Amino acid sequence: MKGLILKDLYNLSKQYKIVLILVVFYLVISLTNEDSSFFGGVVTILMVMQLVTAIAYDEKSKWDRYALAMPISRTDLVLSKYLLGGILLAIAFAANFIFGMASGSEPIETLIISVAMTGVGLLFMFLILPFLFKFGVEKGRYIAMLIFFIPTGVLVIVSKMGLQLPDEDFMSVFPVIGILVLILAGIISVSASLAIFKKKEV
Amino acid sequence: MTEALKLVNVSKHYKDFSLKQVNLSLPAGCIMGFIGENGAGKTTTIKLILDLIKRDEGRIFVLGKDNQKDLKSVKENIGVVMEDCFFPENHTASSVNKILRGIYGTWDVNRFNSYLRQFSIPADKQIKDYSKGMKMKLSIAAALSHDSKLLILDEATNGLDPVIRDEILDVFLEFIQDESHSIFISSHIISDLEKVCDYITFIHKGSIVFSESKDELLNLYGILKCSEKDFSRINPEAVIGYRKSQFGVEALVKKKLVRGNFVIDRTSIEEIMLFYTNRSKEKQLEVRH
Repeated sequence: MKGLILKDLYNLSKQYKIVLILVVFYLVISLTNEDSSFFGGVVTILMVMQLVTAIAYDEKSKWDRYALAMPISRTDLVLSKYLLGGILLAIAFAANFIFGMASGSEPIETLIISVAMTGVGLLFMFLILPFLFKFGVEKGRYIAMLIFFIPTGVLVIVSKMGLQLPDEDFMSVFPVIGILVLILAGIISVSASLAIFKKKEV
Repeated sequence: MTEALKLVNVSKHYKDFSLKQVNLSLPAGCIMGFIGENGAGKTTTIKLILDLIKRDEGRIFVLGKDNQKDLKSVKENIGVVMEDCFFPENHTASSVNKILRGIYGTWDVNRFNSYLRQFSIPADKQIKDYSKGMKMKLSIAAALSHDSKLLILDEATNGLDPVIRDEILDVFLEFIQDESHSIFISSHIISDLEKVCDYITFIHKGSIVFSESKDELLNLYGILKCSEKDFSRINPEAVIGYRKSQFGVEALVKKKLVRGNFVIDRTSIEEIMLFYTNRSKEKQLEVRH
């Protein structure tokens, strides 16, 4: 497992300059708009996309085939990608929190926003990983985009319908619901990915 | 344990290709060459051995263990080199060294470094700038730098120049000096295999044609050259395949079954394979007519 994560981080480290330029670019936009949540969203999505890039590298070199000839099981290969996603989102979380604090927001508020962003990132990762394992990066990429745009579209439509914002009672239980949804999504996602990868011919 | 690798009635069916009832057995301490045309089923067989694809029937034992039950533990003792899959190309030999140290419990950093020196592979060059030969040599170095007892090589010497091929064959011969070590190597460069192998297994259209010791094969078969008239008197059972030309007939025969005063020349594995392959083509033609 350690070797697998090391390999992915090494792969991605070759891209850090591009990622850094993107981060700085969005940082500037965010600062001029005085909207820190925009930056948070972008950084989170960028990190999940790094996970997709890591899988693309593996596909290109037929790494899975090579790896399975080593003392690595199919379960290891699947779990290593979730772990990598976790590490990347932890980086996003740290970046968000630091940026929030540096821009002079309330610590508690910053923490809540950063945690919420990370939660969304995790949910996104849980949704796309089984598709990436099933269809590969080439097709899986488009499915990932769909998954990302459907909820956004729904939100836009809902807001056009002129519904009222949820009341205070709902907002107070929302974190609990969010965590439960995340746990459930995580369990379903990991078991689906494992089932898909067990049958995959590499 | 006496068998490094054993396949019993292994089958795998695809829409347009089937691997049928493959049986083979590689005794520990030996090198087996796995030969056949492109698309005969060599890579499919190797993928089945590594459980990269699921077999439909049969059983496979690697170093005495069932490959679908406890392959993970056994893989510490297997070194694999495959033709077209590899480390991601922005890695370097030194990053490969670090990563494999985290994967193999028996990884030997110093041995890997000494192979890098022996093969003149620079430690900090990115793999994408490697030549094909360097990639193969890196794979082979990786396959040998942990506690390997069985090497599985799929077309590991293809596309390499004769000098590098010779160098690599020497490394294999050195590896096999230890009697508990074995090699299963597929290739269609048969001259290479003829140099090093103890056993030859020939696969044709998904079926094993023969799996024999090399010396046995070379004793068993010979090349008969004679006129067409003489050829018609020969026991048809002795003839594996033949070529007719304006000078007469050249045939691959089982030496023991040929009676009479004929000159039978020594043959080679390559000729045996070619005559077997042509025979099945002629049979197809006969069926069509």
